[in-house]
Amino acid sequence: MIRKEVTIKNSSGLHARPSAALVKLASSFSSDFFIHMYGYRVNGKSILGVMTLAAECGAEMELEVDGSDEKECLAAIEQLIEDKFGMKDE
Amino acid sequence: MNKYEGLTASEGSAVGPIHIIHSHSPDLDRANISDDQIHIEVARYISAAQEYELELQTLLKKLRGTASEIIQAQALILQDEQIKEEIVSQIKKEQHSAAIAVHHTYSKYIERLRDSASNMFKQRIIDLVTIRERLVEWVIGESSKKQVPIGSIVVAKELSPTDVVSLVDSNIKGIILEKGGLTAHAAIVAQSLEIPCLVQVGRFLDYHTLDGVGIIDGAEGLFITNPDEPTIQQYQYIIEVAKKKRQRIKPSTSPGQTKDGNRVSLHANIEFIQELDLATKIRAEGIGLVRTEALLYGGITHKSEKEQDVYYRRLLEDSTGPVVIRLFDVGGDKIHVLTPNESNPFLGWRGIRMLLDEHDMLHSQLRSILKCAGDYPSRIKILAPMVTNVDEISSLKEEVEKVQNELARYGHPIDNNIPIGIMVEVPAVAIMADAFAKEADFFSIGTNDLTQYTLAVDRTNDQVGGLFQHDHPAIWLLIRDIVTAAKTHGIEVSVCGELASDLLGVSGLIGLGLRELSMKPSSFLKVKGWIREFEMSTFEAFANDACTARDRNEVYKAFRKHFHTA
Repeated sequence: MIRKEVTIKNSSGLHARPSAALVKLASSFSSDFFIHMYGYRVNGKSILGVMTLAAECGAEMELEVDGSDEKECLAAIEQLIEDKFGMKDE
Repeated sequence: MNKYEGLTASEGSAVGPIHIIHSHSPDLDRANISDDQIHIEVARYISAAQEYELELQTLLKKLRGTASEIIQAQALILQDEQIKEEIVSQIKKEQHSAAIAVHHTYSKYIERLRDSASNMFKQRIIDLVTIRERLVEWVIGESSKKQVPIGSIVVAKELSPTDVVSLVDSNIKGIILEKGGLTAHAAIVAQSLEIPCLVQVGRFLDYHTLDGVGIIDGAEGLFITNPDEPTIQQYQYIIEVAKKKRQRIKPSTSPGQTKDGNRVSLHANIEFIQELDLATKIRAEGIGLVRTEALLYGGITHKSEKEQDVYYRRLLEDSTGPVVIRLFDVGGDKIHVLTPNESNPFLGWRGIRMLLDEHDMLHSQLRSILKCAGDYPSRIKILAPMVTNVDEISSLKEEVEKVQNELARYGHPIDNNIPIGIMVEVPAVAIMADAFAKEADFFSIGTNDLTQYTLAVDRTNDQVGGLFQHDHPAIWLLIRDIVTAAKTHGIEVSVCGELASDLLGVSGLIGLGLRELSMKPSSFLKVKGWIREFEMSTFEAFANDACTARDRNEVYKAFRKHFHTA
């Protein structure tokens, strides 16, 4: 299991579409993926879980990835967040 | 290949694709479901989510850009494994209905978002609310309103008359009911439309395996799923042979009478215009009961008067002889259009009780019937349902007079002597038949409700369904008194319940002096043939024994003795 602190960088935060992108990506890996934030621990493969974190721009969260492809999974997720979910800022 | 046993409520066999209808919307207020409903509710939720997702995918094809991304996110929420798990586990562990589980689970997330400070996220709440509402709609049966594929075998827990009416339009091949009794409303309609129907198949049904083609074997009371090709062909052959046989039956022109020449007038019960065909083919002497409730099912309150006009007119045009039109008998097992939630609808606001309170509804129906009666004089009779007090008859007569006067003022022809009779279906009326015979112009005995009220048995309740015995000695005794009172006061009396459709029932009724029976068209030829086979004295001897029997078994014994049946 690996853990990593990240910061949300896109201006609109983790709302519906970025959440969808994150969940889609995470679901393509076999590893379990959880997000820790404000004392919540939500399933990162559940769009509702992710959305209801209501993570805004600048929000800090801890990613927890556990499984055989955990390294690749974490790297891909970090890249997605870094790329601001591939969205133009609105 | 799986075989399920049931009871044949409407004869015949059928082959067709299986179509499941989740009828009976779960009430959002209702607390818990029973153990055996869990798998049904889970299946209901899963299929609702799939239907909804399909709808979103269709929508997606028409969208581009941001809009498409939002819908994609909605679809993703629907597929969300975590929420699926939560909903399914709520159904299983909390025993909530699918609708409640969906509502609770989504509401939980909506609340969480609402608690978050960001306006941006609060705006997202609307997405979740939309999904929640749409999904609940799908779950509670918006999906069931979808068109049923033509030629399907419909499988449902139970069907309301509303459902049956809509199915008739889809030209379905057969009906499988999990619950229901042989005399349930759906079964009666199926019989008269000659749609094969099995009831009480429920205990054995496994919804997960219901797919593809199904077969109804009416002769054996079997529902066969996943049949192999030879079995399908075998049944298609049986169905074809039965069809040819039916076409060869020529209705006899011989009158309804006993072997020694005592006339018994035989009429047909109908509900839909489509049934008139069959009534004509079998040469019914008239329509002994027109159930008008179907006019109400289509709309929220009642069909416009014009539509009623068309219905009654076609009824008269396409039939011969007298036509007995029963006023809206809403309530009880029928659909509740206006009725509030009643803990005991069979003892509640139904029939004449409701009609006298709802003047607009009563007047529009009376106006429509009376206009038609003016154009077809001395053919229509009006029948009032659920009468329990004598003054209900006089009140109804006053209303009829008001409407007649109004029509006359507008120069419309009216039938001044239109008979107004009552259903005898409450024991109070049977017990005081003398008093009622003085007020009513005729009696029509509704043996189904009379049995239900006399024996205190709900015929739709599986647990006590076996106690519903319309040939119980108590019923024979009541009918005897009703007939005596009618004869004393010189009014006509007929029977329009199921009792007039089975041979034992018919035998007892004729023996008790009834000379007019009205039945579902599918029983007509069988009944007529039976009556012509025996002499009046045989029927009378049996009726005598039926009235002195101590229970139903003795009634059956007497029947076997007098008619030498096995």
